Amino acid sequence: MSINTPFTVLYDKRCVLCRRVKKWLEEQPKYVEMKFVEATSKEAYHKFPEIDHNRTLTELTVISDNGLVYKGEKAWVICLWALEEYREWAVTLTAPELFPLAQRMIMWVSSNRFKISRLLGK
Amino acid sequence: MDKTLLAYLLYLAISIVLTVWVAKTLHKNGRIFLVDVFHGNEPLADSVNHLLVVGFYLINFGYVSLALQLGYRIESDYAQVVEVLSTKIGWVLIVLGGMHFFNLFVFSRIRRRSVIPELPPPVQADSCTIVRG
Repeated sequence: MSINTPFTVLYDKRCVLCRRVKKWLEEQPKYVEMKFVEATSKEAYHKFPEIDHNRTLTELTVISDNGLVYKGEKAWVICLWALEEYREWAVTLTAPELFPLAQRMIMWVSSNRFKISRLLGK
Repeated sequence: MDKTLLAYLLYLAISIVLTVWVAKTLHKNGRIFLVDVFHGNEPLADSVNHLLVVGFYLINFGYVSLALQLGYRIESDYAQVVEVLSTKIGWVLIVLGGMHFFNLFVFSRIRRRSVIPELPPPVQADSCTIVRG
């Protein structure tokens, strides 16, 4: 099964960084259509009844319309992969030599996102 | 015949033959590659191919022309004509080689760009879930 279908990004509305990234993603030219749903919204609960909704607040979650779930760093990679300008980057980042480093960076950003958000103002 | 003039004429003849040969090779073999890159759009491939070859000729003949002057007269024997020629032609060959590899690099860049949209997702999904419409 392939993810070449539109997909939904579950994002955390409370954090400024997440909203900035969402806005940036929305503006990019894409190969695959991307929808954004707030992680704790009714829509998220209704659309994806089976997933652990508390965890979608701690790690970025991407779900394709045919039901594939990508979490954390994989979700980030899929978002990059969907963009016309960054598909090659997504592939480069997941090379075995680079991916552990990328994973650590993504985890660091994720766990410090509220601190980073404060630095961004608000 | 004046030995310096002889060296110049031989230099020009050999350089022109070499440049034309490399350009023809590039033109012939690059075409197949470009047709593939442009998804079978042959007029576009031919056009890009032709433009690349024109650039190739301009740079090479430009170099050959700039490097022609010896700066002194050859007064001694014919051995010096051969020595001078070998140095000059050697440089022409190195420039041609460099240009050739640069062209291959351009071809591979163009090709790489054309396959990016077909790259599959680089990560596997963590799980599957039900999606309600």
